This record gives sequence, C-alpha cells and structure tokens, in this order.
Amino acid sequence: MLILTRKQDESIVIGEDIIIKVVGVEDGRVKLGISAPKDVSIHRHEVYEAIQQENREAVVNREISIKDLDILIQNKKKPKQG
Amino acid sequence: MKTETRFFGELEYGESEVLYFPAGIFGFEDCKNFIPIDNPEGGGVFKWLQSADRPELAFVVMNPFFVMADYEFDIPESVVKTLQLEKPEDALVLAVVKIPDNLNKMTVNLRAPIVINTTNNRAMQTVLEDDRYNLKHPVVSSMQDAG
Repeated sequence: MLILTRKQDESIVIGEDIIIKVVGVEDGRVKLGISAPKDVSIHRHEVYEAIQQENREAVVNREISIKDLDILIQNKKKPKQG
Repeated sequence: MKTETRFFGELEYGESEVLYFPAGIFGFEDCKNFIPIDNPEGGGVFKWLQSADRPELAFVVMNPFFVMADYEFDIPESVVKTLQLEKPEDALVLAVVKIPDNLNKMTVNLRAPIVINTTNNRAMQTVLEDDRYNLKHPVVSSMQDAG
C-alpha cells in the first residue's frame, strides 16, 4: 500500500482523471473531495463491506418455495377482517 | 444448456435467459452468470437467481416496488455505462431478499438493488448513496403498513 502525507487543500491524482483532495481536517475526521468520471463508482468502504456481508447471508441454504413467499405476502396485504 | 444446481437439480435453460453480471455481485465477484427462475405459477413478486457458475449459489430476489411504492433512484452513470442502457424503461430493478427461519422476518436490501438491462440481459448490483433505503428493509411488516 502506498502511503502519502497530505495537508489540508493538498490533493493526489490517481490515473489521469481521478483527483482526491483533502478539503478539511478536524477532530480526527478527514473530509475528502473526490472528482472522478461519472462512470466510476465511489462508496464508503464500510457500506460496501456491509453489502457484501448482506449478500453472503442472503444465499439460500435450505429448500424454500417462492410460491409460499408470494402467498405469505399476498395474505399479509389483505386488509384485516372484522 | 444445462447446469447442476442444489435446489433445482439439473437445470435446463436457454442461453438467452442468462443474466450477465460483468462485475459479479458484491461478495461473489467471480459469479457473473445467473439464471432467473420465476414462480412456476406465474405472476409472483419473488423470483430466484440461480448461479450458472456455482450449483450451490442461489438467491431469492423481489420487486422492490412491492414493499415501497415510492422507491426510486437515479440510475448511477456507472450502471448506465456497464449495462449499455439507452432508456430508463429498459431497466428492470430487483432487490436481494434474506430469508431467516422465521419467514415473517425476511428482509430486502433496498440499498443495493440489482439493475438489469432487459434488452441485452446485462446486469449489475449497485449501491445507492441514499440513507432512506435500508440494507435490511422488513418485507412482511411493510405489507401490513401498505394495508
């Protein structure tokens, strides 16, 4: 991993068209400004990891009938009787 | 074409049915081909996505608009480009469902929808930077809220 030291208002350039600028530093929090092409996806790493984990937990590990799931939610959608 | 699957035995499918995820899905980046399998009785909200690469890998997905009628997002430019999407109406949106033992507690990931270009079957899971949408949105209780 490349490690660089930057001060406020300094930036780094990645490739030809991605610029990351340190916009502010305060109380242990670093505010970054990122300029990148629109087709580059940028996410907070913890959100990305949480979604990977959510998908791993969503892998079906037993027999499930999607017909039963459809029936379940259709029944829930009906207004309560009485 | 045929593939072995854990839940559907030997599954026969047409090449044109396969959804191609160039980047895989999060956590399964090497799994790029999925076969959608609908409720055999038709008309359902849920469907399966069976991996064509790994027999044991299958997900249940659903139409997210069913749990949140006003679910909406701008399709990120990265998705438009990857899927070669030309018109918004070509996009089909699905969300991954997590099913615990108690079916009433199943949740759907509205934060990371799957977008499919129905004209070429290219697909991608994306992350929305929108805190209104939860990774674990309850399915059954939203039905009751919807009345």
